[in-house]
Amino acid sequence: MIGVSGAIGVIGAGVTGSRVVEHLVATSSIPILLHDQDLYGAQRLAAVHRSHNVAISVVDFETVATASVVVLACGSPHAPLAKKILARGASMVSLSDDVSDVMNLLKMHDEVMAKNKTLVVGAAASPGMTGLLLSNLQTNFDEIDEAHVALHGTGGPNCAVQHHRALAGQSIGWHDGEWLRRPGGSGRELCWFPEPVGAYDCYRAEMADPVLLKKAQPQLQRITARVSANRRDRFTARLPMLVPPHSEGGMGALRIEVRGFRNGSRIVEIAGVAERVAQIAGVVGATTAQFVHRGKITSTGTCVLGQDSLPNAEILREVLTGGIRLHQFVGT
Amino acid sequence: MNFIRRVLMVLGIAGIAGALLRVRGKSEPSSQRGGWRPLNPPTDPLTNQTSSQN
Repeated sequence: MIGVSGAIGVIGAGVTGSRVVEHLVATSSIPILLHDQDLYGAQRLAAVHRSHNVAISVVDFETVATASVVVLACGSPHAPLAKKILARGASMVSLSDDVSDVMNLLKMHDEVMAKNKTLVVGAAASPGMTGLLLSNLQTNFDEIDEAHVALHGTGGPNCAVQHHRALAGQSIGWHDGEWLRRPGGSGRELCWFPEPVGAYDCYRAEMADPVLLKKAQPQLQRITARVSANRRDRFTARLPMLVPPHSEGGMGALRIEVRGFRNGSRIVEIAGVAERVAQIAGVVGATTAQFVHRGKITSTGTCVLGQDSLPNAEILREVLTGGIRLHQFVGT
Repeated sequence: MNFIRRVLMVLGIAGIAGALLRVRGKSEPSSQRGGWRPLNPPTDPLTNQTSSQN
């Protein structure tokens, strides 16, 4: 998978992009090519890490596409960028969490396969980390048939805008062999996240997790995804964002509840993570890119974290050694 | 005028009913007990694929 320059490219120098770069700098000495429309922001991020042992250069789009693998950590849509980068012969890791964008990226499977490249779709927090947790929990079961995801918090401003849109959109859920669409903001459920986040009311939202978890584990019969929201979030969801989003959300969390059978008994396992969402997304995206760069992800075409052909346990181990702490819910 | 009176009366009754439910309503305490415990990263991929994790 080593490309023309042997470097890892990162598109996006925002909150998530900077976490991707931080993790790459901290864990490897692979050169980094950084590109952002905001040239000043990209140069500032590069300058912060220039004292380290890693060569980090701010480059134009043409040059970043010469990297062996490019991390798309900018705002959506990623599909048009992915087409351009693929034409220049690089593998990609997309951190997009927008449903239509994710669907368009998945449609590129044949093109990516024809180029003998890899496109990892949704390698962020939710989706991304949820796929790794699903794969990890699956080892505790003989058979799994349900996965229910909940997310609290947002990463950078683009993520906050996506969260706002998701509550106004149509949630997608897989239910006994068919895709069900329900209005975002409905279906309240009190979800407990790992401390210090605690309990939040979560609602259906237009999230990409069900689509990607279904691709990862096709045997699942029921998949839902919810996001935490308060009354103001739901009331203003269908309006334009009235105030600009925060530069970065506070402490976030995600959890996945997996149901299935073990030794003939019905069991439920819940795993979760409490961390800033951009930090989770950055570490997962960077780790996945490193695996593609090292040739440890050998699948060509589009793939998603959690599918059996990927080294999910190894990726999760590296993500956890990158400072993300995993928790499991125990109780009744 | 009559219409406004009716609307106000309906809103008033709804408000009183809502307030009564809010103040006097009882919720069942959750029977669920439990908490979160830290999970260690999988030490070996092969072990992780074949055995359950603590």
